[in-house]
Amino acid sequence: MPCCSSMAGEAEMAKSKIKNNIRQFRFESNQMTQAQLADKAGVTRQTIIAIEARQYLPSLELAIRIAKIFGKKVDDVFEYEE
Amino acid sequence: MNKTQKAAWYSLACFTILLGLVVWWTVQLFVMKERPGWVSSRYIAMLGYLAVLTSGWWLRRKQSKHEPDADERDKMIKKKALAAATISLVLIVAGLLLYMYIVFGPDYSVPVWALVIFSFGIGYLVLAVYSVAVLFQYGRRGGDGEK
Repeated sequence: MPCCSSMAGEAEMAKSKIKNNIRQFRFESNQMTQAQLADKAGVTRQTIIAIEARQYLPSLELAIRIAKIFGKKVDDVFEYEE
Repeated sequence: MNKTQKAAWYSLACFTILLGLVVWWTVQLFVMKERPGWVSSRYIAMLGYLAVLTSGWWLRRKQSKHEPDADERDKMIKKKALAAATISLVLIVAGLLLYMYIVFGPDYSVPVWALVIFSFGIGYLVLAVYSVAVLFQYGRRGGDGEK
């Protein structure tokens, strides 16, 4: 599994090597807004913005929650960029 | 803006207002050689009270009813800000003691009222450092993005 737990937050400022497809999945999920995703994942909208922009690496728990919201595997949502 | 950011802005605003008042009163006392006017102090206190009431309402407002008070990223940001504030506390106290040692010498004694003022001053300064550290971490590369 490519992400996350112990590295969570370490990539806060530098762009993470782990890319994500959250934006794409949001649009595929009936154009879900960042606020709606944040509400479902139990985080603030700022956190979703930071994750999408690869400024923040979520914990494994949050990554799984986000993947479940889209009905996908964590690997589909988060990928390690070589 | 989430609750952590709002709280940081609130602390910073309180610090700035207090700093402004202290500077103004110092100028009145030592430069203009007059005691701070009772009427103007009353108006300032009323304005401060209104500001606290308004910002209290603003702070309680959530972006949505499901928004948590602090999520994992907020907690991480607070933790780093707390570390920065602790380091600043040590540096400020050490700097102040060193300054007093150099200026007044090792045998000088400080009156008790000065210690009280030092404590409050250092407390507010550390709070300001904490707030700036919080806002800095949210602010870097951080626009508010799309809604």
